[in-house]
Formats: sequence, structure tokens, C-alpha cells
Amino acid sequence: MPKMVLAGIEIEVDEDGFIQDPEKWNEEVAKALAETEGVTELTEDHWKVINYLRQYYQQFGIAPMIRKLCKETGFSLKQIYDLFPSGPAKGACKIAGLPKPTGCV
Amino acid sequence: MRKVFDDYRALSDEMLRSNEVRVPHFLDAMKKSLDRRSNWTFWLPYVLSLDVCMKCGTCAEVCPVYISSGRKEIYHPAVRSELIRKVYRRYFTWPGRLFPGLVGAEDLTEDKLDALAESIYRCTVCRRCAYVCPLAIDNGLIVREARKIFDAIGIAPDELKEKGTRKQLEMGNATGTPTAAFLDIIEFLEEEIEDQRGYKIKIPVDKKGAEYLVMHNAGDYLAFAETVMGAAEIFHAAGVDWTLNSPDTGINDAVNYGVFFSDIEFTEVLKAQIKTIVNLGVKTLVVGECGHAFEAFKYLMLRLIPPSERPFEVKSILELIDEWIREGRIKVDPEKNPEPVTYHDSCKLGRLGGLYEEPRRILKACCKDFREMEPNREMSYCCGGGSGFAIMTKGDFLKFRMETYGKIKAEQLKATGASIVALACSNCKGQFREIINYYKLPLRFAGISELVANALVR
Ligand code: SF4
Ligand code: SF4
Repeated sequence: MPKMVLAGIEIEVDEDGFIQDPEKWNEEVAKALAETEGVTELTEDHWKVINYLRQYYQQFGIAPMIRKLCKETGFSLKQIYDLFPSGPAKGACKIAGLPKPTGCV
Repeated sequence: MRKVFDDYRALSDEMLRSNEVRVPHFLDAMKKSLDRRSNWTFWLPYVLSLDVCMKCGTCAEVCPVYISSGRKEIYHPAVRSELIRKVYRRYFTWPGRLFPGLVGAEDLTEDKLDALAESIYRCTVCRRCAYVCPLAIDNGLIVREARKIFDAIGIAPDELKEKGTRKQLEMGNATGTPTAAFLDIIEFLEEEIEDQRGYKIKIPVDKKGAEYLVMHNAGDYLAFAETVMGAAEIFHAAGVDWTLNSPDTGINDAVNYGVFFSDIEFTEVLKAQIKTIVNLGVKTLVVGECGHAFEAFKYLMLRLIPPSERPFEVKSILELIDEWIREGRIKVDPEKNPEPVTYHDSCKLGRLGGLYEEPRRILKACCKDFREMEPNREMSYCCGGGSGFAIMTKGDFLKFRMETYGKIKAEQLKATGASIVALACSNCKGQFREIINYYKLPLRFAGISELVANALVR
């Protein structure tokens, strides 16, 4: 597994840059991950998405449905793409410290 | 990532293990693939396709990746097959062993092996080329066989194997959705239907002995929920005895990525799915909107599993909806979908599955302005999501999908002037989502079930 230095800590990431140990995630790490995704500033709107993703993941062990994510955060899919250019799965989940979604999503 | 074939990589360095000696293992696995007794799937067309090719180039002129790349030689279907033929001739034919230079046989080196591994993940096995070859050579089939050989030596995209078939067998679905999450999803979908339509429906889960078990591609629940909701509304409106199933019952995901790269993985997944279906004691398995799952259950299963071990019928959700509309079991009003709608033939449902008229009859009944995309049916262009590509995004691979297959599709879409493209395959949906985003196209995609549910008259 490759390692990356994010916010001053060395963290294992997979080939797509998703962190492997969710315990190591914190807000600073999120900011560093955001930079790898070309998101230079994490606004309140970004945090709304990130927090919901994390909360759902902690409860259910998986990222939420895209439709539910949109409904709960009040953003359309297009707005989520505007916030996270590589989309909810590859972009938002990565910054939120979730593992890379698998299967046909 | 290191360049081994072109500017893209489908397989990581970790997966390729270029510093190890792999050629002898590859040749062993290839030998096995050439033996009829150890290759049950398509041995005959495979060896016939390896034996001849007149290099006429007819295949190339219809191959989406070749055409859209500006006719790059490396993406030419017959040139790709020739990489494998050279190895075949050199190691598995007498003239090739004795006079390699004379018959176009070449030693396989570790570097060539890297390039070969990548090259077989540029073709989506869409088989458009097989349709036009005067000798009926199937370059897509050769690619699939090569993927099998690579898988046998431990080289396969992790999206398809480790996080695909392996995960599906372990968790019941390739998305890794546990039962609690699945039930939360179902509850949410019931609420969404109520919010949207103003009526309540119950979505049955794990009902033993139901007439229909609807198995979706599990990715649909997470990414394309409108398709799942639409299907629920249609089954409810038809008033039939139906159910979905949770991971508690075994496998609740119609996908079988083994179709793309491995008969061994294919068989293991299929057997686990059959066990689940038999345990539930349902009469008919309804394959949701997923192209390769339809190929798996409708055709490949017949070659592998004796009839006594699969005591259920298999139907695509498209076949059922089409029947129900024609019988008048469900009533639809095309005025409810007034926007111009076009349809993209998924390769697996169309060229491989023969479902051309069902989706068209459905869409014409449910949409006011249905428009064909040109070319279509047998000559439909693969969208570029096929054979697993829709979920492969390593490095710049998404860009490859967009700049080749996706480019053609975007042009085709624009020419229709439609504002909705109807799709009946999950991989297509994944690819179109990206195409629409990448090319900023002024339209959206929708599952067929979603459009039908929209048109329902209650
Ligand atoms: S069309 Fe058939 S014979 Fe002609 S080059 Fe292609 S594979 Fe060979
Ligand atoms: S199967 Fe499709 S992508 Fe592959 S070589 Fe043939 S036409 Fe091209």
C-alpha cells in the first residue's frame, strides 16, 4: 500500500488515494485530501456533505444512496458535482475519509 | 503511472507485478484455455478465431475505440488479436515452433506481457466488430479469453475481482451493503414514492415462494434509485406477487463480473445466486436493468447448469413490462412523458441478448416523442461502460473512456435532440452519467422503469 503525508501525518492510501484507516481522519486530513481532488477550500456546504457521509457511514458501514445524500443535504446532484468535481463517490467520499465505493455505482 | 502500452493504465503496477517472472505461467494458462475439456464456454469460436484472419480491416472500421482514437493502430481489433495470435503460433503450433519468422510467430517477453494485459482492457468486448467480419471472427471473444488467462495468473482489475466478485460472495453484493443498510434503503424508497406520487406502496423483501424475485444490480440502489423505485411501482401496479431480497438470504445483487474476465469467478457467483433463488422458492427470476446480468442468467447459465438445478424461469424486466403493457395489465399514458426521449441499445441486451423491440415498444407506449439514435440496434455503438469499464477509474482511465467511446456517444446523443436518454443497463448509466457531465450535454438519462412508472395510469 502506498503512503501519503496528509496534514503532517503519514497515512496509508489505496491506489486511488482513499485513506485506509478511517481512525486517522480529521478535519485537517480532510483539507489535505480535498487538495488532492482539486478542491481548494472546504466551505460550509462541503462540510454539510462530508458530515452526512461520515454520520451515515458510521451507522451503516457504507456510503449512503446518492438520492438520500441529496435529500438530506438539500443539494441536487449537480450541486454536489459543483462542490466535488469528481462526484459524490470518487470525490466526496474520499474527502470524508470513507473507503472507495465498490460495485456498479 | 509507468507507461506500458498507451497513456492510460487499467491495472496498477502492484497488480501487474512486472518484476516477477510471469511468462511461463501465462503460457501454462494459455495452454489450458486451448484445451476443450478445460474451457467450457466458447472454446470452438475461440480457437477458430485464433486460426485465421485475412487482415482486411473491416472490423476496425466499426470499432468505436479505433475510430474515435483517430484510427490508432494499437486499438485496431485485428492488431490486438494479432498480439495473442503471435503467442499462439509461437508456442502452440508446429510451424510456429519450428519456423517462427515465417509464420508471424513471436516470443513472449515480460514487457510484451505488460502491454498485452493493458491492451485487452481497452476493448469493451462489445462485439460490434464480430457482426461485420466476413469470416465471423470474434475479436471481443479473443479479448475475453485473454482476460481469463491473465486472471489465471492473478492479473485482473481489482474493481472487478477483489472488490467485485470476491466482495459480492462475501457480502451478498458487490457494493458491500449490509442488511441493516439495505432495509434502511427500502424504507427510504417507500417514503420517496409516497412523497413523489402521493400514494403508499409496500416493497416486499425476502418473501418466500413469491412468483417474481426482482434482482437488481445492487449499485442501482445506491446510484440509480429511480430505477428501483420505478420497478417497485410497476410491480405494484401490475398487482403481482413479487419480492426483493436482502443480503440475509445470500446474494442480492444481479451482477456477475466474472462475465467480464473469468469463468471461475463467474461460476462461483452464479452458483451462489442460484442457491439464493432456489432457497427463496420463487417461480421467476426477474433480472433488473443490467445488461451483463441478463447475458449471465439468460444464456451463459444454460451452458453450465443442468435444468434440474435451476428450477425457475428467467426474464428481463424489459420483457415483463412489455408483456404487461400489451396485455393491458398495466396502463400507461405517453402524455405523461412529453419530452423527446431516445434510447441507447446496451451491447449486452441488444447484440448479445436480442432485446431490441421490447424496449422500443415500451418507450413508444410511455413517451410522446420517441426518437431513434443513429445507428442503433445491431450497429449500436458501445457507450464505453461495457465489460467493467463503467467502474474502472484508475489514474486517467475515465478520460480514456470519455475521449474514445464517450466522444462518439456524445455526438450521437446531440444529434437526436432528445432531452432524455433512456437506458436499461446499470453500466450504461454509470458511463452516461460521466459522458453527460464531461461533455456538458443538455440532457439527462433515465432508467426505462423510471419512465414507465412516470407514465402509469392508476
Ligand atoms: S474483419 Fe475479420 S478477417 Fe478482417 S481483419 Fe477483422 S478479424 Fe480479420
Ligand atoms: S469488441 Fe468492440 S471494442 Fe472490442 S475490438 Fe470489437 S468493436 Fe472494438
